[in-house]
Amino acid sequence: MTLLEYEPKIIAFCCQWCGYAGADLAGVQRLEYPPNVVIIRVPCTGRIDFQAVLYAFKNGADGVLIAGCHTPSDCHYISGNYKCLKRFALFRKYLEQLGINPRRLRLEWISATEGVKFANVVKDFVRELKELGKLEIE
Amino acid sequence: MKKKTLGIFYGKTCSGCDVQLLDLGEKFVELLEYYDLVFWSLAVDTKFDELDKIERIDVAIIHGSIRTDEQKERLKYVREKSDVLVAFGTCACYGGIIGLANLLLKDDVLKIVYAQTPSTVNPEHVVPSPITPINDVKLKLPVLEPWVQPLSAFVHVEVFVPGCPPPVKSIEELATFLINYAKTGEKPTRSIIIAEEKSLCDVCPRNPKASRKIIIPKFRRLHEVKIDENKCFLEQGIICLGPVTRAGCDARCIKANVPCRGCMGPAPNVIDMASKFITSIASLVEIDKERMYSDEELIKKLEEIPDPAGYFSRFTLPSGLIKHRVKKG
Repeated sequence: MTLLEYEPKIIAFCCQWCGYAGADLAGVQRLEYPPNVVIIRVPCTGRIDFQAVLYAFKNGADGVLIAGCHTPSDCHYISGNYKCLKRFALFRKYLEQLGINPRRLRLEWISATEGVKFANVVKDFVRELKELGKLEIE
Repeated sequence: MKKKTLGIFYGKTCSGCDVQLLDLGEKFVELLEYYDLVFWSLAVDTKFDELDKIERIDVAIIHGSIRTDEQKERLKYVREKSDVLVAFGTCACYGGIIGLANLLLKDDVLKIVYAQTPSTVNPEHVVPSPITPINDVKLKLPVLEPWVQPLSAFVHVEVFVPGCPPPVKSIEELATFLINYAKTGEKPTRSIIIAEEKSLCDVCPRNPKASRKIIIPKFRRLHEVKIDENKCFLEQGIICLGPVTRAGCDARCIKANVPCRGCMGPAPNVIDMASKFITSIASLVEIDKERMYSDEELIKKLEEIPDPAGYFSRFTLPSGLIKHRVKKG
């Protein structure tokens, strides 16, 4: 009997205007990407409470992907993507202090036309998480 | 009327809460009309073993968090014997400032305390061991648990009194509650927190009432700036934990011109103070001016804060979402 290969779980918070539309396009284009990602659609990346990100890690996610609109001016709500970027910068540090590798949290700007980028980001993230191994929170 | 029994017990504590209990003044005397003190190392000479003789402790007040196996066992013992358990002070409620030790593994804590701090002189590398033989006598020491934990991690707690130390107003409220309990025997069906159901900003005298935006151009330390006594700390670039902290302390630090450090614990609907505060404060930095910077420059601005875990969850790390250092991160 062979051991099943470790498959990381990824929670992806995608903003409905860019990240989610990009993921949608990846589907419409029939692009293949690993099935490890569970997408949660949010109105805007600026609306993500980072308690939710920590909650994801605590409850079994090995990685969290946040996909939003490109800076400086793609955000549908003017500056939501910037709010997320600033939170991300500080939160990464917090994760590191808790002993969680900050590489497990990714922020990517993916526009509605970038289905290919979405697929590539997921592929790359899964590869990276397989390198890091399972996140074990007792 | 038969008096009820009251015991005051200790976890891992600095005993500041003990002293604070005395601040109750005359009300404490009134409390003692209804209660017999059966255990309180500060005031009554009872040894812990003698508690076996007492059948019930009606009300047990515990301050301090749980770090050693002895504290854990005592907590469970006291819980079994008592009707109402009061977690007194932030350590008992949320883990407290000593909970920051959870950012390190137990062995690292011992190494730092017994070898590395500049003031430590320990050439024989003595570290506490559970049993130390001295001339045929075996001395026993409690053993450290892996992490600091609040009372509620082990037992059900009826009343929480947060604060480091709890403000006198809260203790008076607790005394009123206890007197009422002694008279009627009524206890709440679910746990209560003796504080307000608001965040500190809601009651803060410096709250900018006009709906003007709070913008932080640059983070500053307290000594770097002359603090305007009427202006919100956040507007001055000083980190103040008011937005995520529970009210009930009467803004005592704010009134002394010192920013809030979050000792009253998380505000209602806040689970993890640090991540909630990160969500709150990071968005205030350079609002509406973000476009003048590149993404990297903005990230650098935020990374000026050297210790988000230590500052934002200073008193509540052991009761946050991730309660201690992750070994395999």
